[in-house]
This record gives sequence, structure tokens and C-alpha cells, in this order.
Amino acid sequence: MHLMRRVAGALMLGALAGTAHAADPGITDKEIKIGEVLPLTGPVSFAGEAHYLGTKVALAEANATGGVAGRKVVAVTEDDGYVPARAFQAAQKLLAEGVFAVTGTSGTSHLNAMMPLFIEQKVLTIVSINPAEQAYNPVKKNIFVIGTDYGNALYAVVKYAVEKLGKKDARFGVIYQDDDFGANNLLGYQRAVKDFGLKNVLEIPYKRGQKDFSAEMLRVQNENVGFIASGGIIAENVAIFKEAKKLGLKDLRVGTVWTAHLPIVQQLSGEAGDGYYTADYMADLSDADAAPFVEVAKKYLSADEMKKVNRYTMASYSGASILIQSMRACEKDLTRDCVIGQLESGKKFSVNGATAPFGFSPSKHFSDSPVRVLQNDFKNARFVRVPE
Amino acid sequence: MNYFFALLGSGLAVGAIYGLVAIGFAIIYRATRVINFALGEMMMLNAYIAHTIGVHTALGFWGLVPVVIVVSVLLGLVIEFVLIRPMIGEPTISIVMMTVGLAVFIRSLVVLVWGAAPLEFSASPGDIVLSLGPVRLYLAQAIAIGLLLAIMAGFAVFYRYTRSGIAMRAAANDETVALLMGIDVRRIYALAWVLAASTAGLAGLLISTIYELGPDMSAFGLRGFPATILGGLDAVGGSAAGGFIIGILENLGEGYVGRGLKEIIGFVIILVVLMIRPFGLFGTRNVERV
Repeated sequence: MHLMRRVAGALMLGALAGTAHAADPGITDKEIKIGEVLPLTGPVSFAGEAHYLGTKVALAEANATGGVAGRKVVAVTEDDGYVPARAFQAAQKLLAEGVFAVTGTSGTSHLNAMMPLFIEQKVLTIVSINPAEQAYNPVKKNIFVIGTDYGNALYAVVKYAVEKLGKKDARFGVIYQDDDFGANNLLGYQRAVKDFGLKNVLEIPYKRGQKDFSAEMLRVQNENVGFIASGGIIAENVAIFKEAKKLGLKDLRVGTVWTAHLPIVQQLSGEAGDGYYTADYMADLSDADAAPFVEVAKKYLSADEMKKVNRYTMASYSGASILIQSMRACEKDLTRDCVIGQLESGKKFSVNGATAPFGFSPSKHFSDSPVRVLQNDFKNARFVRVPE
Repeated sequence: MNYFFALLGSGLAVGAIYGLVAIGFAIIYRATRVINFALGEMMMLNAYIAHTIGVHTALGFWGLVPVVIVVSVLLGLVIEFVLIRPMIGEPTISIVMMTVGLAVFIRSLVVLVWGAAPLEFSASPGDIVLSLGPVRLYLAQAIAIGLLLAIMAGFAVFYRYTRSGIAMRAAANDETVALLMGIDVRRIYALAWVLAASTAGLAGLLISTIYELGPDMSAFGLRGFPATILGGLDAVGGSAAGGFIIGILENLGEGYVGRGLKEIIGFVIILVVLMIRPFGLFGTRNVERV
């Protein structure tokens, strides 16, 4: 009778263990599957491709040192072409396949399309490509966001202009995109104007996709603006730099958010962009802090892949890296709940210098990483961290 | 006043690009009564091909101008021969829809071959800035203005004094009568597509030089359409003038009013013109006897 009870007990325990595994998809005895939805094609494919490489580095690094409890970590990547509807379909596909976590979440509107699905199915999600406020405010139990607000970045460059460039008495202006991204930039700029008591003389909105900024920059010249906060993405920033050069605005300083912390902006703007300021929570590849990351990346990426590495690679590396660190801490109880517990334990995660160490808490799933101000050094094709 | 003239000058530069594209719309419409909604994409494809040739041959801006014209001629001929000619006699709306399909095809092709990220177009005429009083323009912008004026003059001569130009006008007036007079209307159609592709190709080269090369430049090219509506769908010179007018109004609107007015002013003009003068400022009024 005792034997029968023991056998039944063992069977029940086994069944329970099986249930625990069944409740958290993507885990087998040999591997852990994570998913990514990225814009590998479309207008921001440079970000999607770079992000893909960051995850690749983090996984290769982890697997080379035993994976997670002997399991290999593999990624399934879906391309959404930067179309929200396709992002939703891709997320459905990933969840149908069964992934333990999602570390690639495409753009803001794409994340917004996928988020209800991730919340409903309690998928552990780490947002590292685009720190959208909707993902962390209010806190969602299974979603964690690495980065900071665009507004904080623009605030940082304006603060730098005031405190280090002697622009306190200058006339300030902002050029911003008329969407959520631009509104975020505008809020950061307006907060800086208020905090530092600046002369705000221009607030210029523009439509997404605008190419010509000649009239806008003539307004900047006409208003004798000394510092312009540019909320452009890529082509918009390039056009603004070129117009400033054309108009001979030598005393004008331009500050941007991290969308301009990219080699593509540096190359397209050429000498016209030399010296612009950008703020980012990710280090520049040339920064001494990022040297450990660069070393790891070179180990696992080909020379051609290294050419595509940029800040988005570091961002995704950070996301995948903290997921792996947390999964390893949950070795014996590898469930989403345990990993979430690890992530929100308050522990500071270090990610090889890609960004400053950061952590989360149960009430804050947003790293709110500190921003560094960088200056474009066109001649040496790098961004130099300015003295703080 | 300096501010006004500076806005005027930069408006002329933007308007010149619109005008070059607008001419393409007008040439095709005048000859075939078809609005080619793939013109922006043809412009883009041309620019990408020029970029590739420029990268592999180290040709500069001026070296690429004849290349663009040759590529445009070939592109125009292929499109006309393969897609348009078989559709002669079909309802105009079918041909217009075909151009919409062609636009989607070219956009996808460009992304497939060259990728979606913007590319640096190194074959620039130089970063030289020209100053004329308060007006400051990059050399490429000044070239755009000069080129549009030269093309306007060229087309005025072409339509008035050349056999092909007169034949084109005849075919536009009455296709059947033109056929009876021995005019090869198919050749006229092909010529219209070739000329439109060439002006659009030059616009593409200039846009790539002044701004950058990317798949979204086709949308910039499409902004020439309001210029054609303003100038007159069948008025080649009028469309070019429409480009200048829209460029100037956009810049003055942004310079004095702002709030993103420049992005919508072209389309506001379309609405107003269609209500008051549907045939455009310089277009031909169609009178139907009933």
C-alpha cells in the first residue's frame, strides 16, 4: 500500500512538473526558444538588422559557456517589414510556435499592436529596440523596457548646451515630427526650457517623410536661434544639418536624440553634420566603456556583420543578455515567473559596457538608463562622449 | 525683405524639382490622356541605376547626366512597349490603374535590389554654395532651376517648330485625324513616355544629390502632381511654372505661417484649382458640343 502511495505521489509530482513546463512554452530539455519581431526589411531595416546581430552575439556568448542549465538558447526571428499589421501576425506565429520570451518588438506602433497578445498570453517580453512609454506605464507584469524617454534625451542635450556650451542666454528652438515620437521630443524640450528659463522662440512641427527643410531653417536663421533641438529621425536630421551649412549658420549648435547616433546619419550628412550633438543611453562603439562588448561582438560576428553593428546591436545585446542572466539564476525553476522575479529583484545587470548597469523593481519595469551626450566626429567616423 | 527673398529663392529651388516631375505628367497626359502615377517611381528607379553606375564607374554628376538620359530613354521605351502599347484602345482608367500597379512594382523592386535604407549619393556637383543677395543655394539647386528653365524653353521650341512636336500636338488634338494625316500615333506615344522618363530621371538625379537617395523619394516626386494640376494637365510649360508656384507658396507658407502648412498647401491648391479652373492656369479648356 505504501509502495502504491509512493508511486502515485511520484507520478503526481512528475505530472505537476510536466504541467509547469507545459505552462511555459519554448523550453525543452535541450533548448530554450526566444522570439523576435524585427523590421529586417523596410525603411528602418538598418535598425532591425543591427538588433538581430545583438541577439545573435548574446546567444552565441551564452551557448559557448554552457547555455542555460545545459540548454541551448535559440532565437526565432520574424520580419514585419515595419508594418504594424505584419508585426501582429508575426507575434501570433511566434506564440503559436511556442517561445519562452520575446526580445525583439519592432517600432512603437508595432509594439502597440503586439502588446495585448503578449499580455494576454503572459509572454515575458523585453523591449530594447524602442523604449515606448506604453510598454512600461502602467507596469505590465511580463514586460520590461530598457532605455529612456526620447524627451529625456533631448532634455540632456539642451542641458548640455546650457551648462557646457554657454548657451544659457541664446535663443532656442525645436523642430519635431508631428506624431508620438515628436510629441515626446517636444515635451523633453519644453521641460528643459522651463527648468533652465530659456528663451524659446521657435517650435516647428514637420510631417513624417518631409525632405526639404529650407523654409524651416530660414526661420531658424531669421529668429537668430543659437541652439536648435532636432527631433528628426534620419533624413530629417541630415537635411537640417545641410541647410544649416548652406545658410552659413556657424554659431548654431544642433542637438538630437539617439536616432542620429548612427553611422548612416554621419555618412549622409558628411561635413555638414560635423560637431552635432546627440544623446543616447547606449555607448558609442568607439567608447572605452563599450570595449568589452566590441570584443565579444568581434568574436561571434563576421567582418561583414560587424559593419552593420550600431547602437541597436548594443540595445538588443543588453536585452538578450539580461534575459540569459535571469534565466541562469532560475536554473532549477526555469519558469517565466521565476525569471520575472529575477528581473525585478533590484539587482543591477551589467552588459559588457553596452549601456550603464541597470535594474528593475516590481513597481518599475523601465530601466530609465542614464543618458550620455555625444558629439559627431565626422573625420574619424565616431561619436565622442563629451565631458560631463 | 531679405527673409522674403530668401524664402522665395529656396522655394524656387524646391519648385524646380516639382516642375521637372510635373512636366513628365503633362507630356504623357497631353499625348495619351493618361496620368502616369508611376512617374515618381520611374524617377526613383532611374536615380538608383545612376547611383549604381556612378559607384562602379566613378562618374561625376555631369558624367551621369547623359547616363540618366540614356537610361530614361530605355526605361520609357520598355514601359511603353511592354505595358502601355498592348493597352491602347482600353479604357483610360485601366491604363491609369496599370501605372498604379507599375508604381508598386518598381517600389518593391528597388527595395529588393538596393535595400530600404537611404544611400549616400556621392556624385554631387560639389558642396559649393552660391549667394545672390540673401538667397543661398547649393550648386545642385541652382542647376535644377536653370535646367527647368532650359527644358521649358526647349519644349516650347519642340512643340512649335519640330515635326515630332507638331505631330504630338496634332495627336493630342485629335488622334483619329492625326492617324488619317499619316502620323504614327504609336511612335508619338513612345516619344511621350521617353521624354517624360527623361525629365523625371533628371529630377531623380537632382533629388539624390540635393537630399539623399532612398525609396521614399518617389513620394517626393509625386508632389509634382499638384504642380501639373495647377499649371494644366496638358500644359507642359504651365506645369513647370506650377512647380515654381507651389515651391514658392510652400516656403512662404512655412516661413510666415508654419504649423506644417507647406506639406498640405499643394493639395489645397489642387482642391481650389479643380473647383475654379479645372483645366489649370495654362491648360486647355475642353468644350464639348451637345
